[in-house]
Amino acid sequence: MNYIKFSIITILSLYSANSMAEGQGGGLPQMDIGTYPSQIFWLIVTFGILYLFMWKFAIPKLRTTVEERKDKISTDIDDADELKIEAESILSEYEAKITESNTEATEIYNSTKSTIDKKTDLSKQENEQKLKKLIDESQATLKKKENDAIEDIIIKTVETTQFIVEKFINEKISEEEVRKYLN
Amino acid sequence: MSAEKSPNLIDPIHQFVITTIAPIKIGNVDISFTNSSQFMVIAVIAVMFFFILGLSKRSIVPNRFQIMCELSYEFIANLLRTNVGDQGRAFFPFVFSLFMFIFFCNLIGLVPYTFTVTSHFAVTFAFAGLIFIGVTILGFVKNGFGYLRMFYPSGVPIYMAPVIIPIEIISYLSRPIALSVRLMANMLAGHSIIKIFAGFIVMMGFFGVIPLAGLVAIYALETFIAFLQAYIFTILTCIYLNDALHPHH
Repeated sequence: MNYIKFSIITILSLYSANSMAEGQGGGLPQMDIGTYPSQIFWLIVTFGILYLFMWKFAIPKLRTTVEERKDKISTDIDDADELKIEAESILSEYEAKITESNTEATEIYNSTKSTIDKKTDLSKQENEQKLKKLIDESQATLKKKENDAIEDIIIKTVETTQFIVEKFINEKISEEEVRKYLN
Repeated sequence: MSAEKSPNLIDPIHQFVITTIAPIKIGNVDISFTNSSQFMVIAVIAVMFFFILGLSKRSIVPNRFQIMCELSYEFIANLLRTNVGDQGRAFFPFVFSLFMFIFFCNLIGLVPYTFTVTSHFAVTFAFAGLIFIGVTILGFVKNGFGYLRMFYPSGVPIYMAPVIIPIEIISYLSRPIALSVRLMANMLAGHSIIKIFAGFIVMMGFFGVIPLAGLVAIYALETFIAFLQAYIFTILTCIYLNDALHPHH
């Protein structure tokens, strides 16, 4: 590409030299020294203004913007790190609390269970005792009633025997004697 | 002008002619406001507009214009930092202004019917000469006569000195010429090529689509070159600054 360009420049220079030789007042405009003072003067003016603008306005603003962003990013990262640490401590606290409450819950469960068991045992025993007492009492009454019934039967038998004996042999027989025979 | 005499002929250098808009004279010196001055003013206003628009609503989360402003800032700041180091900070406003000015002049010059300020030797040489003189003064101020050691690189045997020192001096003195001619020649040649191709389109009638395709490609290339030449000018300025600040590296 450079070869093409420089050959073109050479051709252009020759062309302009040719037109100059023909007296057409041409030539490369770049070679017209008369325009140099104006170009350099206006270059100094415009570039000076641009330099002042960049120096006093654009660069400080750009610098503060870029630095503010860098600061913001680094502080954000720091904040994030701090929050992460905080979150981790909260997590461990939370886990500790969970294990604590777990043990507490088991304790409460165990104690409640034992008290309930105790109470159940107690009432069971009480009930058994009551039941036993009841059974004993009823057995006792049964026994008594049985004895009473037997006694009744015996009395009735004695009376019947006394009555039969009186009827047959017309003779009173004492109760003791009848009982003696009955046994 | 030759274009007036033969209107059918393509005159690729007509676009570089400087025409006076408002004649001004101080003594014998002609400092008229010309089309060149006009486009310098337009370029400066464009740069200012670019930054004022981009920085008017500064925010932590930037909008598109602000991103462009910040990208240009970071780009030149990085260029200066990597090539010169921290000592180059003082020259940042100059280097940044230089880049923005040349870049906008190159870019505005690509618009048809405009004038390319940087296609003129006077402008580019004014920049290059300013940089050359500035860097030379800076070199002597910072290093005293030790700056002259730059012309005799360390490690070169003494009997090579008569050869090396003139070469180094010539290469040093040719810096402003190389710097200014590179930019000016690129602009001149690029815009001439565009003009010539544009002329072909008109001349070839219907078949002008072929040079039109070529023109589109060249326009893309020239847009890239507008940036590239501004970049090269800026990076060479940085390298010269670095030479002045640390001549022994």
